[in-house]
Formats: sequence, C-alpha cells, structure tokens
Amino acid sequence: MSAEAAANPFAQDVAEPLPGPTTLVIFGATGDLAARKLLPAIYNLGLGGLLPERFGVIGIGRRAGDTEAFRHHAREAISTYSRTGIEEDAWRALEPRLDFLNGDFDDPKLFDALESRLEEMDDGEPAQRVFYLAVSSSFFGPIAKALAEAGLGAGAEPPTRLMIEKPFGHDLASALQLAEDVSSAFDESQVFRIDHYLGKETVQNLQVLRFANGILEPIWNRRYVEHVQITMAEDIGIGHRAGYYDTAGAIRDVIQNHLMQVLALVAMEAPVRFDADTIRDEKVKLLRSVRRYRPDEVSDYVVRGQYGAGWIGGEQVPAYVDEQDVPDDSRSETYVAMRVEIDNWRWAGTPFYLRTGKRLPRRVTEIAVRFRPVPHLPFARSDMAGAEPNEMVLSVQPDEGVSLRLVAKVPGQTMSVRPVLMEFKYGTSFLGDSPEAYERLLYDALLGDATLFTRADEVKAEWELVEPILEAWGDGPAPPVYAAGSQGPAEADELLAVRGRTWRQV
Amino acid sequence: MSATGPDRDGWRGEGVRTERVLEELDRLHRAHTRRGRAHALTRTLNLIVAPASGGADAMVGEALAGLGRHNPSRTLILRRHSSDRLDAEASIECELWDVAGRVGFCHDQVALTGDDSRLAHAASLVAPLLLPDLPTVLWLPDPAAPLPDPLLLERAQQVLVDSARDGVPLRNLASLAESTRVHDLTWGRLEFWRAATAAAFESLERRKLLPRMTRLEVRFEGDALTPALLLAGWITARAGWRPGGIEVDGARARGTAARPDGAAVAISLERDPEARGCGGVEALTLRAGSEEVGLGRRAATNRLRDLFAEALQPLASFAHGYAEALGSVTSMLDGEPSAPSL
Repeated sequence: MSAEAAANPFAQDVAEPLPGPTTLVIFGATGDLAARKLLPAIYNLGLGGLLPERFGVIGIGRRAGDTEAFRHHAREAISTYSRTGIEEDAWRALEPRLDFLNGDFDDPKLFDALESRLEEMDDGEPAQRVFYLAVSSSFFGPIAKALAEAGLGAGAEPPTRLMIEKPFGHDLASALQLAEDVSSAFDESQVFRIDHYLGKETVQNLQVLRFANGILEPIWNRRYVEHVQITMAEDIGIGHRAGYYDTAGAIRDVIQNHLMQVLALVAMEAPVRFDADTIRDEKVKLLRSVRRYRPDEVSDYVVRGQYGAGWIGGEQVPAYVDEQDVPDDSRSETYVAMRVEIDNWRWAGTPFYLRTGKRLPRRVTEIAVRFRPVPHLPFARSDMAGAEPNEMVLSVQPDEGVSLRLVAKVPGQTMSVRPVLMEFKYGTSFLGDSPEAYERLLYDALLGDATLFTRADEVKAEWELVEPILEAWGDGPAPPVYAAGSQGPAEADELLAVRGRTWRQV
Repeated sequence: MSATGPDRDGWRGEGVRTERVLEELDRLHRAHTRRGRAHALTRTLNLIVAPASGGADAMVGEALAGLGRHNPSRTLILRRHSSDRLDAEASIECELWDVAGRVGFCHDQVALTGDDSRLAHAASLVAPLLLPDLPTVLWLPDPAAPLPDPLLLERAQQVLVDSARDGVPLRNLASLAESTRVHDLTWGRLEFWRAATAAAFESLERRKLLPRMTRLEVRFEGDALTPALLLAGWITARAGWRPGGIEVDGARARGTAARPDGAAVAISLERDPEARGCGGVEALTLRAGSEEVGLGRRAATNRLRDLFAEALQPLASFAHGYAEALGSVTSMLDGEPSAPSL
C-alpha cells in the first residue's frame, strides 16, 4: 500500500475523534437559543477537549455590538446556562476564538463581510464552515440563498454545512418551499436539521434497547403489543413564546416533529447498519406506512384542547387566552391526542396513541408499550383483580429508564395478585454526567455525522401526516377547554375508550 | 431541579465479621427509607480499593469524595493496621432530589481495616460483600506496592491504576496488562493528545510525512515523564516504528526508534518549566526534516473525578492502544540508545 493511500494509523485508538479545523458561524448569536444552548454547548465541547485545534466562532447578530460585547455576552450565557459552570482556564482558551459581525440578514453587505472574515480566519489554511441558523425560520431560505450566492453553499471549498432547527415550515406547502429554498442553495448532505429530541440520551437508547436486546424483537409487533402510548406532557404554560406558539400550536410544536420522530424510532424496522442514511431510510419507510386520514376522518382520530385556568403544584395558573400576548379569541391548541395506525405487517391493527399537552399535572415524556393479556387465567377470577397486562415503559424524562410491569402473587394464604415493577433507571446504572443534547448534536455536525438529524424526506413525510389535520381544524370549532392541572380534555379519553383502554395518568 | 447533595448515614465497628457489616448496611438502608427518603440502589459496579500507603491515602480520599456523583454500587476500601482484629466502617451515601416523587440514588461504602495476616486473604474478606452480577473493578492506588492478596486480581474484571504517580514501574504494568484489562488514569489524561494526533494526521498531506519522520519531541510539565513516555510509546507503536533504547535522566529522556525503512527517529522528552500541562503533556512535535507537525495544549482539562468515572466504566475503548504503548515504552526502557545522538 502506498503511503498516500495508507489509513490514518492513529485514528484506531480514539473513541471521540476531533473534528477537522472549523469556523462555526452563528446567525442569531445574541438570541435566546444561542445563550441557553449553543454557547454553553461550544464551551463544554472545548472543556471536554472535543473542539479542533483550529476552531473559531463568528457570531452574527442584528443587535448593534462588537466582538468585545459578544464575548461578554457569551461569558454571561455560559456562566448562567452551562451544566458545568465556567472554568477560567477553559474560558480563556475559548474567548479569543469568539468573533462578532453585526448586520441585517437580508443585507448582501453582511455576507461580503462574512466572506472576508472567514478568509481572514483561515489565514491561508482553509477550515470547514458550519452555519448555524439560530434565527426565525422565515430567515432560513433567504440566509441559505445569500450564503450560496456568496459561494458558501453547494460545492463550496472549503466544505460548508448548514444547521437549522424546527419549525421546518408552517404547513406542507411552506415546508416544501423551505426545502426547495434550502436545496437550491445547499446539497442535502450539507444540511443538518436539528430535532433536539434526537440528541437526548434516552431517545438514542431506544435504538440500542430495541436492536441490541434479543428478547424484545420477537414480541415487538402486533401479535404481542396491544397498543402503544407516546406522551410528552408539560406542566408549564407557554411562557414568553406566545408569538411563535399561538401560530404553531401543539401539533406543529411537538407532534409534527418530536413525537413523529419518537414514533418512527419505536416502530421502525431494524436498520442493517447504524449510519445516517440507513437509519433515516427506515424512519421514512415507517412514516410512509402511517395511515393518512382524510380531513373528514380527523375528528375520529385526533383530539385537541386548550388549557383554561386551573391549579398546578398548588398554584393557580391562568388560562391560555389570558397568557401574555395571546389573543383573547385564540383558537390555538395546547393539547393534542391522536390515534395513529401503521399499515404494515409488523403493526397493522396495533394503534399508537400520541399525546402532548401543556399545563398537565406534571412534566413527563414516556413511551408505554402495553402488551396483550394472557389468553387464559387459570386462577379464580376473584383473586385476579390486580392482574393487569404487562406494560413496558421507556421513560425519557424526568426519571430516565425502563420499567416492566409484571403480575406477582401477594405473599399470604390466598392467591391474590398485584402488579409489580421491574425497574432500570439510568442514574442507578451509569457513571458520570450525560452531555446536553446540543453538545452531542453540535459535535456530530462538526464531524459530519448526520445520524441524529432529520432528512428532507422525513420532514416531508411528517408534514404529509399532519396536513389533513390542519386542514380539518382550519374551519372547525374552537378547541375544547381543559382545566390546567387536569389530564386534558375529556374527548381524549373517548379516543381510547375501546376495549377498555385508558390513558396512563400524567 | 437539582440534587440536594449527598445524604450520609454510617456505622462503625471494631473486631467484627463480614456478616455484621452486611447486617449494618441493610439496617442503614432500612433506616433511610423509614425516614421517607425514597431511594434506589445503584447498579453499576463493585469497586475494591487496595491498601494504600500514607501518600496515596489523600488521593484516594479526593477521588472517593466524588463518588456520590458517579455512584459505584459498592465501594470496598481495604486498609492496614497493626491490631489483630478486623474493623469496619459502613456508610450509605445518597444523591437525593429536591423534587417530590423523584427517586434518589444510593451507593454504599465499606472500609475494612485489618492486619497483614487478614489482608493476605483479602479476596476472601471482600467476597461476601460483593454485589452479585455486577462487574468488579480493583483500584490500585499505589501500584508500586505489592498486592496483599494476588487473588484480588481474580475477583476483578478490570484494574484501575495511575501510572503517573511516583515510582510506578511501567514494566510491572505491562505484564499486568497482558493478563487483565488495565485502565490507567494517565492513559485517560492522554486522550486529548491521541485525538489531536489522529486529527493532525487526517489530512493526506500530513500522512505523507509519516514515512519521512526524523524526530519526535514531547514537552511535559513537572514530573510527568510517564505520560510523555506513554505518548511517545503510542506514537512509536502506531507509526510502525521499532523501539530502540531510551535513556532517562531526571527531567528528560532521549532515545531512538527505527522507521520501517530502517532510518532512525530521534525521540526527545523534555520538561517544560512553563508548562501547565494537559494530561501532563504540554506540546508534541513530529519533524520530518524541515517540515513539522506541532500540537499544543489547549483548554482541554481532565479533572480527576470525571476521568475516574470514565476509567471505571467497563468500556474496552478506554484502553485502546494502551498495551501497545506500554509495549513500546518497555522495549525502549530495556533497549540501548543508539545513533543518532541527541
């Protein structure tokens, strides 16, 4: 083998490789997402020694400011939001790598200035450029196009990547338009669409749990699974997000992306390899197997609600329409429950119930797989009152772990039974801290690993499932109101009230 | 939402048997639960800490102070005294949450103090206290000290050491690494340097320099010659060079290796008085004539507790390349330095 063709002999002993030389450009660098997530993630990657030797950040913001002010802002953000606090040594190493450009995202001069700054930072040795658009999605298309016009899009040398985060459109048409805008500027392989749920350890563990444990696969199908409930409940309201949330609602905010992704991971077929395209191919295949409802069927399968005033954790909370900046006549839903049918050989006839809501009694994200009951109980019926079917619950938050509900005999003279839990909790079984989702996602993007990012066809498939629902609701009545702190609207219970199914208590 | 910090309960007994220790641990857990502090037992691993000399004791204390966050399920610390009896201290330490309903995690720790005759059978002492079905890690805080009971090695799937400590014979570690998985904290501290070296040679242009390398230089901080030796040994092994000899002279070491084409590569390890070190190493330079690949320390830090948790994990990847690096270093230490002179 020639020396030129020889593989890197040092790479084999490195569990966490360092990305190549990189300049990370953050559009919206003085915004909330950058402060809460991105800057702390960059800092923690540096602290962990996971940033390349040649690494720089160019923050771009519309607010007036300079590099010095940006560095001050970054330090404040890291001190406030980093999971590790701030260490002077690590901060001193990061600080000189932070640079700032001020300008409007639709001003061509900004992109000229960016190009010059990138070349200055390269100093003759080109570094890959990663553009993170931490801005409103209405800027995604224009910024992507402007970058391409500046020679920083498809085919750019040195290579470039574009990171964007949901919402990817407001409906199917706008999502397709956005996809077109982005694809006219960047090749799909350059686009990293973030669904931060995929960066969560427990969500990633779904695949390991399913595909590295032989006992689950034989029963992970319609024959043994009676139904599945996927829940993402929050006890909080909308906070200061009224501007976005009131135009999005729960279906766009959570169902179309996070819960569809979790559904795909729970129900997809086993990938042949753990690589980006193989996994995403399987997810798309699953999403395309999900039955699309006609708008006139939607009310049979989907329930929405809007929280009214109520009590959470012993405190009185206002109704959604009384939240700051929410119109009095808002018809936006803060709760969605839907029954999903997957028309394939594995899952036909086994419904998946997706549920998300704000101002529910507690914050919980979980996947509950309810197994079919035994065909015959050989015990006296009177003693079997507690004989619930088995249930496996994968808890994403707050107590990350897995539990399996079994039925056991109550010790004593009689054959009474009750459910017992076999539990595994992450905190009891692993040492050390987990990185934040954004750290993992940013690190993967710097390495060019797209496994945990959504592909354009996934996004399209998700919108195709949601579109008829939006269409049906467009002219429909206002959502029913549920009391804050309750389990959601009563209509959601009716969605499950066949064969005695009930929602798990939030 | 956060953990409220460790919550501890303890018991101490003199002249006890291991059955009593188990009873007391059980009692401590029950008492904790009775006070309404719901907790789950950690299910990670058993950690046995071999007896340490006075100097290593402080380091053991510092590392164990962080265990509340890392949660080994049961830590068994062996200590030596001169009295003809077994003393024990048992404690449970729990990380509890300040949120109602969240389950806290508890692990327990037992210090067993015995005389030499008891410690000579330490494996039998710890056996009844090990939690079944969990991996067992043996930590040798003082790897230069003889193990009181060699059977302890048979109880463990993994041995934890820190070769950067004074007087640790690398040759001994090399023979230990042949029979068991050794997780050396020093190797963990060098992770950044391995990743940086690999990243530096990702480019084809840099890889073209490898067959023409003439000199390897490592600058290290303080007394961190061992990390420098290990890094040089690893590069030698992975570059496919044949280790020559190395001469260690206090603050520096000089040696040689031979490239596959037979040409010599000079190796120079030098203390840098200005260094603040990352894993003990300040800079690495590989030269091919007038061309060079230079790597400097950056902000990477390897705090002892995080590294300790990482080294405790039963992950084979932690030790990737370690045996090869040790093999190269011991060959160099056993070999004769040869030309070119340094």
